[in-house]
Amino acid sequence: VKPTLLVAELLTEYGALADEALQVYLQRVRPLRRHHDAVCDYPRRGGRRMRASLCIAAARAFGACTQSALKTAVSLELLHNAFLVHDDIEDASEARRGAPTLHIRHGLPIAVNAGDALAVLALSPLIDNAKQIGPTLSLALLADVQRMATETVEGQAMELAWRQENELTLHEEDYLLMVLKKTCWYSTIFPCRSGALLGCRSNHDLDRFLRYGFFLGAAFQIQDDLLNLVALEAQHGKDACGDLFEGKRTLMLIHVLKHASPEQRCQIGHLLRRTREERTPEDVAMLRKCMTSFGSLSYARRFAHTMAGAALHEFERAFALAPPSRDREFLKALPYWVIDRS
Amino acid sequence: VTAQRIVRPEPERLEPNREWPSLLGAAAPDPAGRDLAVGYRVLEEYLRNGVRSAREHETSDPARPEPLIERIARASSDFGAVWLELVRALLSSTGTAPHGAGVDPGPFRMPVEPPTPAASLGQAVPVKDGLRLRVRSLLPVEVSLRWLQDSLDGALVAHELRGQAGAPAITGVQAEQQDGALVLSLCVPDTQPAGCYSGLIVSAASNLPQAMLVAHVLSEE
Repeated sequence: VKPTLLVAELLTEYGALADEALQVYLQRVRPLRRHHDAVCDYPRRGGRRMRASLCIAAARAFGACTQSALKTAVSLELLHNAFLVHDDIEDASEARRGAPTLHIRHGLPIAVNAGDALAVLALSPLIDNAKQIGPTLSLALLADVQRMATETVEGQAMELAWRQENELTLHEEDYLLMVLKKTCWYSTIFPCRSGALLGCRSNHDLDRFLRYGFFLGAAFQIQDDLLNLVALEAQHGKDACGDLFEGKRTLMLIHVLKHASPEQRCQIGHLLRRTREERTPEDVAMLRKCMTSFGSLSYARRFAHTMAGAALHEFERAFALAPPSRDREFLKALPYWVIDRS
Repeated sequence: VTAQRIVRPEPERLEPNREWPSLLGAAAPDPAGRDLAVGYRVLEEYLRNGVRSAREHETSDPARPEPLIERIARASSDFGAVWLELVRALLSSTGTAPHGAGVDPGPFRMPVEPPTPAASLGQAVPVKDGLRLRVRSLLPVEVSLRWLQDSLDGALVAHELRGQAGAPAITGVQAEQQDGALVLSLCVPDTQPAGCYSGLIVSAASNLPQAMLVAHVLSEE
């Protein structure tokens, strides 16, 4: 089976299982006026359930059964949706998964509260875990969830500060550190660590998944940023060129700022200082043009490929003890899929 | 005269070149290799910082396990407490010190009712009028006593405390009369596995159960 086809197959299979388990928790949301709809909105919009599938596959690869990983996978999806709600507010995004963002649909106060509710709801499956996997493992898992959530919000804080202070002197290292904390920890590192924890019933040497997760997550994020620039809104499910409207510090923007002449950099600096509402389609077109002329897209594409290659290399170290299985193959195929997806 | 303005050419780079292999005359690394180096540099730096903050956390965390030296110091100070308690008991029994309510309970008694959990080494805890409970343990222990009779039937005998199958019993249990008060002593070995242990206190005359002593030995973590 072609690696990317295997990934698509397992994402569908494990995604459906996670979806079904997720509904159980969404049914626990009390039918308060406007609250219930707002809380259930994002989780019911679907999504690839990549994080949940990664967690289940890692657990199975190390010998756990699907059921024992399902609650952790659901918790991860709920937390992911909570982050998305707040991210969309912080970024003033207008579209998510092909529909208006939660704050556009329900208003800011209700959206903020719904994000809080999703984060709190994410604790329920972790508490329920204790009955299935025992208190010791549940507590170890909870400690890792706390670390993951801390890293994620710190990564987001880094990015928000760059935008607020209109930071123009960033390097690839800064970007990668931000991505490691903001994206990789909860998208790839934690799903692998939690899966291994469940499968091995031990938190011994979980840091080996940090390397695989970092490179895989970095490739994923760079590719995601590239898709935001090249895909149409209908394909991507988010605002077309939304990252440019938001002034998001992507690898492409960092590349542009590095290669722009002093005049150009000054002009881009002025443009980025504006708020999203003040930024015009002409501003965005100018930035996009700079990216093309400086070869920033090719540069980012190459960077993503390199990160995916490193992920493949680190996979062999992280999953060396996992016996051959479909799940192991899925985890090995993920770097290919990350780059191939459109 | 056509005076053409001389323009300084755009510099090749605006920042110092930190690719040290090229400074030494080596061929410039390929772009993918450079990207890879950046990725690993970030990762290694992150891991180094993680180790550093873990060490800092370890030295500042009040919940961290007690170092051996502190454990020894605590054990000797607790032994002092037991020693004072013993001296006080001996003085009481020889009539050197006044008996009964007038006795200064000292700093090692906690006037708590009902039984106090997690009694530590050498603390004499009055759990009921005329009864003292002494626990000697370096492990955290929660002790409770459940009365089975309304009044005590003369002298008492304490059985060993038994835990789950495979766990050694706690044999260091004694019940004795001192100045009309019952003194229960419990000594938990340092190697005692965590778990729930229980045993009966019976009448020496009739062998009828008078009370049940339960000790929850907790792990140090």
